[in-house]
Amino acid sequence: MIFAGVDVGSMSAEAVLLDEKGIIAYSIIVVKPNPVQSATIVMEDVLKQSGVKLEDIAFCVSTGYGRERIPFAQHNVSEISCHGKGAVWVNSKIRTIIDIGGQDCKVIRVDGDGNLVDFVMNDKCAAGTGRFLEGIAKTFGMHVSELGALALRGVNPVPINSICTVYTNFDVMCFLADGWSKEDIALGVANVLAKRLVTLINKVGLEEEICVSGGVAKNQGVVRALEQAIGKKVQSLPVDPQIVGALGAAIFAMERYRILGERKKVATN
Amino acid sequence: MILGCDIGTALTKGVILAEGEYIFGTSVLTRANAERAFEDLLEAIRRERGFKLDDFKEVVITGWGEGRIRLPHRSEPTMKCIAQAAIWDLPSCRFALCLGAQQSSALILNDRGKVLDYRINDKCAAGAGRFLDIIFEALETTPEESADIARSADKKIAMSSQCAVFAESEVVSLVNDGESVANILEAIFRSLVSGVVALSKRLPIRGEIIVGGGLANNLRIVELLEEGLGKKVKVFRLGPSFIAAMGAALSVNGGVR
Repeated sequence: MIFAGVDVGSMSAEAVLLDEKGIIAYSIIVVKPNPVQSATIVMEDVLKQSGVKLEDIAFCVSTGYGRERIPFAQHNVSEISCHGKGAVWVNSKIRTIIDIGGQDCKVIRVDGDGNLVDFVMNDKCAAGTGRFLEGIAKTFGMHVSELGALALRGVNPVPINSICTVYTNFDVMCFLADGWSKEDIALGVANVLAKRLVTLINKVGLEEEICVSGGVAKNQGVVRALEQAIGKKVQSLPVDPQIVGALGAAIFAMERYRILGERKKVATN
Repeated sequence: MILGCDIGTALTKGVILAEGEYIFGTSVLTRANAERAFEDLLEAIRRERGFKLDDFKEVVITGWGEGRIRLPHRSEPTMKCIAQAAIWDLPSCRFALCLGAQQSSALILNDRGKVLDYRINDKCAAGAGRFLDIIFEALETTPEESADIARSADKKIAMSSQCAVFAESEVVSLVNDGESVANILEAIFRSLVSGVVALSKRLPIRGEIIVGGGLANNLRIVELLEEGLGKKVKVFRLGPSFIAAMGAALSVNGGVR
């Protein structure tokens, strides 16, 4: 029996196929202007990779942006619940998920079954999101994926006062003009992003174990800065941190299918 | 002669006074490098008026880049400079606003130009000049023509994003959805001014109002500010960008005589 989860974000879309044994395949794409189109393309891609046909999927759950409108999904669940579900499924000790997406960031607290306990989200401002890092990468003339390794090589982080993306960009230009190394600037940038996350974390509290999900979780500079800022270890996940939402959706698909099956049995009896 | 200089995050401004009288003012782009901008300013003064550094009895510097200038100079706090220039322009002024590229400030002053209290927003680009630069670029318009375009708006639309980064994306999708540039600009200006009005209202507003800073070059913004504050607002007479530089120059010899 195969289950699918699809997660359309602001910058990337992911799809995960799952059976009783685990993850069969997953795919990550850059989003198209329309969420339905993004969901369709990423699903086609994961099907092609695995040789599974759409009609073979027993149940599909969608999450993320435009999740109510995905035609091939039978059900939809909020991305907050999906991130909690997915993270606990890959590591049952996880109780706090810090999700750093393209245009928002969330701190999600869950119980041992991956069910939501509390959460806080910033989607009002680009500080603490992937968009923040993209701006800095553009100023450096490099790809955003290169920033993490750069920050890890930093020694003396530049002091950045404002968490605002626009102002930090300006500060970065000044530090470059003043002759600071890109490594030290990238480290300062990772620290200021972590600082923004800490203000969110303080609103809901932290329970160990802690993990980071979303595209920015791949930035080791940010993960290390976050560990230093909270004084606690961040668990690295045994899956690509960007697919945690889609994985959670696929797990919800599996659970939902079972519940519906049991209801059907009760009804026919 | 005295050179007053305000090194802002966008523009570096210089004002020259001789015997307390205004002689000349000019500005150059800061380009994220305060020291080079200051040199560029001195070069512009030399080129445009023939004055050299030695011609100035005193150089007074204020603004973001002041701490980066190695040349010996006198430093003055920006709020004090704004207040000094406001009272010089309008002796009955008791409330001044300075709307810059990365900072909005509001202050109340007494009849001698002393700052009694002030409020600053420098945490975030929403409502700052740099925010408008981003929007103008997204809309392919210029600061000069934007005021007239906004006045021709025929519908009030609401912006859902305050953040400059998200507002840029929102503006692009509004354009793609067929919304007119005039309606978008008007919505942006209204949103920006509402932030300035909120900042202003954290102080008791009294007396005449002077506004400076680059945003006050935009007459639509000034109109909306008058509407929001419910009072007339006077734009700093030498050109709003020069308010702090003028105040810096005035601060020598006790400022306003």
